[in-house]
Amino acid sequence: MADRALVGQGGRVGRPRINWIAYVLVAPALIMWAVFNVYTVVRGITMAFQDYRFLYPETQGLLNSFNGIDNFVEMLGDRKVGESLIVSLKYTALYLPASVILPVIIASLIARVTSERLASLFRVIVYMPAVLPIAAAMLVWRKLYDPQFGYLNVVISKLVGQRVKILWLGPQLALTSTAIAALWKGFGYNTLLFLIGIYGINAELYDAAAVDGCTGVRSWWYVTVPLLKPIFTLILVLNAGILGATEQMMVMTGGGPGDRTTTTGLYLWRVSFQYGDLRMGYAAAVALVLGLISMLMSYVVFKVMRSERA
Amino acid sequence: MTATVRPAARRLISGGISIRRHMGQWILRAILIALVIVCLFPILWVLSSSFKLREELYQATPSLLVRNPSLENYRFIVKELPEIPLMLRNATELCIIVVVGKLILSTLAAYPLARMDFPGREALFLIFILSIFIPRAGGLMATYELLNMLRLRNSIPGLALYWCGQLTTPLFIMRQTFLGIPREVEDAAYIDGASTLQVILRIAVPMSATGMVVVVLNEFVFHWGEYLTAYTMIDDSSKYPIGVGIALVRGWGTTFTSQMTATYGAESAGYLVCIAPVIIVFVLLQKWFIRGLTEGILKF
Repeated sequence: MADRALVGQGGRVGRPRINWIAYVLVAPALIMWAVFNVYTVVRGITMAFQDYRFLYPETQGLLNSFNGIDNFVEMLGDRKVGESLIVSLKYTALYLPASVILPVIIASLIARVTSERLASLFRVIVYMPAVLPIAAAMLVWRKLYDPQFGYLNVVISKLVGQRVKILWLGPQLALTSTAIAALWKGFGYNTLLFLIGIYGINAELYDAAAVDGCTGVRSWWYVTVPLLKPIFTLILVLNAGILGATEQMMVMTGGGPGDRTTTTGLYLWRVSFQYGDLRMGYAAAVALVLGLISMLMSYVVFKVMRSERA
Repeated sequence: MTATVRPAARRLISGGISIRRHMGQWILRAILIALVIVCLFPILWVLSSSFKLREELYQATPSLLVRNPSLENYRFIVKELPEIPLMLRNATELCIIVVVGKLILSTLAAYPLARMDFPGREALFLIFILSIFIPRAGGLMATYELLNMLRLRNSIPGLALYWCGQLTTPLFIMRQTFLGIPREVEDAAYIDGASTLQVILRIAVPMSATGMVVVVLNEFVFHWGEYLTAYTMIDDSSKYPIGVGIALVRGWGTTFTSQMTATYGAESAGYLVCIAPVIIVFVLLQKWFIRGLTEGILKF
């Protein structure tokens, strides 16, 4: 014991002797993480080069059903992949810009509220939809969208003074409606991220800008927004999976009407877990391509963000 | 020089436009209150529908206020839809296993990552973090295969095990918490002759209670609402957690229209039962959720 105290004279008390304990402590988490993250990601990639059909056990081994790039070749001729990719891109275009722009504006507004109690109330309520179970949130909106008994049409009817029957989940609007519902659930999280960023900005910067005659909206644009760049990047990174959006459509529309809201994520999920032989190999290949497209898009975003900083 | 000018300039500006600023505050509040209505309206609508009887639900212009509140819809989902209480139980079981499991795994691993020197520490932490940025691509199919091989597919423990492997966020929060403990406290304990395990159990863990609360709450809310992976890994509807099973309620609602209870009312009661636990936890303990954001994701 005494010599350990002596070792500690330099401030690094006793640590050189206990390395093995560190490994023992890290091991359980590392094993779980390796099995359910590293292994599954790698296995998911290898599956893409197999004619893996879950209902046919003989196709499950990598060597039994290795088929090179056949899945990728098949994908080129699969009309549904192309169509669903367009739906996914449209959904991303509807959701992503709004889920960044709306929160940054709302966060800036909340940051301007002088009463701290009111500001805290706003923060809580804005964040509330974010904690709801995704299925419940989507189902509630499904009910709001109901053309006959949904409240949305009732409210609009009252506002315009005549009865309207908008088909929110009809062919034209279904994807937009889904994006709106998802936005309702998702924007509070991003708002809070921005808000934390804004609270962290040094107030003196605004004073300095004010001395230079830069106030109000201009100080927001020239001081606040540029300083929030790390948060913008973070949100875009966290949303990298948006192209694979699946569960929103699953619950809200089931991909319909027709295939109007069948995203690539939903299509490959069905190929893998619902249709026919459960062709997981082919689905994994589609997923791999989708993942690569997502990564490419993130990369472009990073590049743009970085070049603007310079 | 500038330091003396600044406060004066600020006073000048704020003094000159104080009335405008006052009005601005009210406009601001009006906008934000409109936003609050948008946020709360769907939740309030479900709440009110769940207490309405048939006649009120199907009015031409239904109102948010309930004239004859009734618990009939709740009686219906408990008595006629035994799946709902069962799914609530499944979700509770899952959440308890996963939250406790993740808390233990991440606390144990986070301490060495924060405080101990060992070869590979930096690399280990880096790969834990980087794993967030790698697309999961075929991960869902591979997990399905893996759990099937382990004979854990279509089972609550299997799903819980898989969820326990998603450790990045809790690990990060716990590491951040340990880094926040003053080093002197631990060093003093070492000098008094405590072993590493004693320091962890008697000092570091009790002092990291705040981080643990953040982890517990965030993981609870997240897994209570998890849909896609649970729906994929579990086949029997009797094993669904409520966050998945709730999507089945609409079918039952229409099936049971011959009953006294109206379709929409029963559905609404189901939705409310599903969201109530997270809403209650969130409203009572909201500051911890915001803390989870500041200490977790924003420190990356």
